Amino acid sequence: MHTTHHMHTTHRARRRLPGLLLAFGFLLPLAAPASDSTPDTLDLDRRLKVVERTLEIQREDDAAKARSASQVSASEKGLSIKAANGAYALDIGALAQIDARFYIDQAGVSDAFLLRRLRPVILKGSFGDWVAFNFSPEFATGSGVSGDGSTASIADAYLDLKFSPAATLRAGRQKTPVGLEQLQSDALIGFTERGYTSELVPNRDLGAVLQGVVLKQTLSYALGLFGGAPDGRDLNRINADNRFEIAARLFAEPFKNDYGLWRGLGYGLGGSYENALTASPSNVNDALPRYRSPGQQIFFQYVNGGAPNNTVLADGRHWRLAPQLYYYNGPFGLLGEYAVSRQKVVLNGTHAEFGHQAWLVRASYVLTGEDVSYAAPIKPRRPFSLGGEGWGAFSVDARLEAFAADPKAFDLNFADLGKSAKNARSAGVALNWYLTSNLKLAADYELTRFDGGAAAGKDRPNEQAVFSRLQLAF
Amino acid sequence: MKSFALLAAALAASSAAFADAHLLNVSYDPTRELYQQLNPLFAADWQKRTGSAVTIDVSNGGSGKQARAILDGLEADVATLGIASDIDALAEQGKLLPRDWQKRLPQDSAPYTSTIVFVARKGNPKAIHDWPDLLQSGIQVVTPNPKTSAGGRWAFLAAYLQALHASGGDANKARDYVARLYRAVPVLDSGARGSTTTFAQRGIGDVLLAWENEAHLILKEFGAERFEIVVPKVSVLAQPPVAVVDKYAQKHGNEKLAEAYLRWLYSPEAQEVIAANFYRPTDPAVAARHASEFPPVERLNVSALGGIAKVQKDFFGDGGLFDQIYANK
Repeated sequence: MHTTHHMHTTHRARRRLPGLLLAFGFLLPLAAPASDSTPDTLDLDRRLKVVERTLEIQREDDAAKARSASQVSASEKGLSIKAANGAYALDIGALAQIDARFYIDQAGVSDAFLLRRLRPVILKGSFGDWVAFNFSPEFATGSGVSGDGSTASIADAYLDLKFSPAATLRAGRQKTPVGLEQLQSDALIGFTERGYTSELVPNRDLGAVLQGVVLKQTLSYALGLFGGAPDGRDLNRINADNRFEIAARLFAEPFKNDYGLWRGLGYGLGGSYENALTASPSNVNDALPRYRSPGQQIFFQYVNGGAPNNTVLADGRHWRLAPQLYYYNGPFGLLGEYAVSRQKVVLNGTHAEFGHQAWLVRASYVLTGEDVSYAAPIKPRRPFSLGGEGWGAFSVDARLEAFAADPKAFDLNFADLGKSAKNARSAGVALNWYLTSNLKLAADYELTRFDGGAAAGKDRPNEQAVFSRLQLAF
Repeated sequence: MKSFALLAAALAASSAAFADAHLLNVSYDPTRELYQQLNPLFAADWQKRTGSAVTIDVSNGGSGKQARAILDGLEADVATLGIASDIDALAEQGKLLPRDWQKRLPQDSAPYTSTIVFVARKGNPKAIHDWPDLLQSGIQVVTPNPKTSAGGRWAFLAAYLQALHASGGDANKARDYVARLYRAVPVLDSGARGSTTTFAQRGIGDVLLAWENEAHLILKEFGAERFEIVVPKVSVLAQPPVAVVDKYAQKHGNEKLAEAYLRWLYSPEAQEVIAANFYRPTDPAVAARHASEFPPVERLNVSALGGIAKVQKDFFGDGGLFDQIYANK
């Protein structure tokens, strides 16, 4: 029995053997060791290694190129081209301000649209570590309506030699370092036009300034020599009176490096001194003031009959002082300034010296909570976009300001009370809509009351100026 | 008394001129180990001769890149680069030294020479013995890019010259040879050390065309059990030159020191170190003592092609021979 079972088992195994051998043979290549790779596999391996090494070299080359390549970027700050080491850079920005001006119940003054500032190319850059430049051509013709003559074709054009943060020599056409509101960027002032204190300090002039920041950047200083611009204006001619003006400013931010409540406090003093002369009535505007209201109407100037014997001329010493301060904390900002401009003049052989003064307080508040500051634009957290949810940022500004001419100017007939007001007081409010950090819509209303300035010494009519602006700046 | 005072003043002045000094040697890639050994010996010799100390800083990198760095303002007192055309660029483009700089030191300002050899896998499985073997079917050759590497340029010139020599001066056959050779190059590194990485570390290629001293460094660093050196019968006479960069040496007050440093490279002491690092010394006595360490090879001179300046323009300039054959690869 056992033998028969064994014979059956052996017979079944023999019948299955070919199949088993076949199956085992099929499995053999799968179980073969790696050293028996075919030529195709070796070739693939070589190719793969070449590809990997080529990619490695490409990455090394790309990294080397990136380290030495210039960087070009376009952003909300404009177009920037920078060398890999950062020493050579060119930034291209622009400023465009299109205004609409309306006057309420004001005879003799036209409502108008105005291209207030048009600087399509603002070039700033650096050559190496210590040379920088700024070039901003101006294609707009000034504040327009009352023909103030501010027709500069170049806004800024200067070179900086940056010896250190504590000492930079700036030479060229630039803002004279005196007034706080005047020195604030044209794109950042809360109202469409600056106030009375800016009317008493010089605007842009041609000269050289040594400036810098010291004491861990808590104190900035500037000391400059200029041709001498009239109050509130640019220098329009190359130093017609052959006299130079010294301008200086000190500004402290003692808590700048702290993180407390007073971090945003700054205060200082600016001033200028020159001996200005006017040779003839044809260039009185180079040295003597013509003060403008918030509505940009000239409300004070010295008598000018067109002839030497009936025109007030500049006659020597002219100094200005402008104590100033600001405070910024989150969405709240406050700027205050006082300015006095005292100047010797002569009219038909009569010599005199008059001091005019003004003060200004401006408060700002960003309703949407973004931070406001003196030197940086408001950056909306949720910029406006068509179809999007963001509405940008909104701020309100309020301004109180006053101007007082020296009453002696009228007493001595150097100014005509029938044409020039002796006092002006203004109150205004502005609403700014920052759609993006580059695009702003603004509207402001300012009421001004005058003392004098109309025929027979009556008061000039109140001015109600409603100005609006569309601004693109980067 | 007066003459004594004058002498004392002169001595004081001369020692002040050689007060502790710094020298910058901008060199090409493979010489790191060489100058690490040479510089302390020169400093000791200088101290002995003048009583003054000198510190020598060395910058290493691809020869072409180093020349560019000097042109861009790296204030090298001396340049010890891989090929004369890189120093010619300093003279022509940067006006940093006179155009006839090569005549100022012996042997065309080349205190050591070298050549191009083959590095093969151990056992030489592909039986690579000479230049024609590099064109065998399936062989992959690793060599640096001659547009960026001095070693790459010497390798190209070696290949071209030997083909020209073998064909009895037939430029078409020489051109055909290099065209076929570079078709077999799978990866072109920008420098000699990159090619060493490709061949020795990444395992790519069957043979590496290398500076002779680099070949010995590969065996030392990666193991003589993995690679072997094959010296062809014919190769190129590679002459890495040295030069004082006059403009910067004068600016630093280092002219005399810089010249003394380079002249010292021709001294027996320096030549011994050069030989020990597998650069071929130019001093005949030193060369004779080390003859057994340098296999015989007929080294062809680039002067047969019109000189380095001409080959730089004709072979490696934009649109030159290398661009033509590589574009058709």
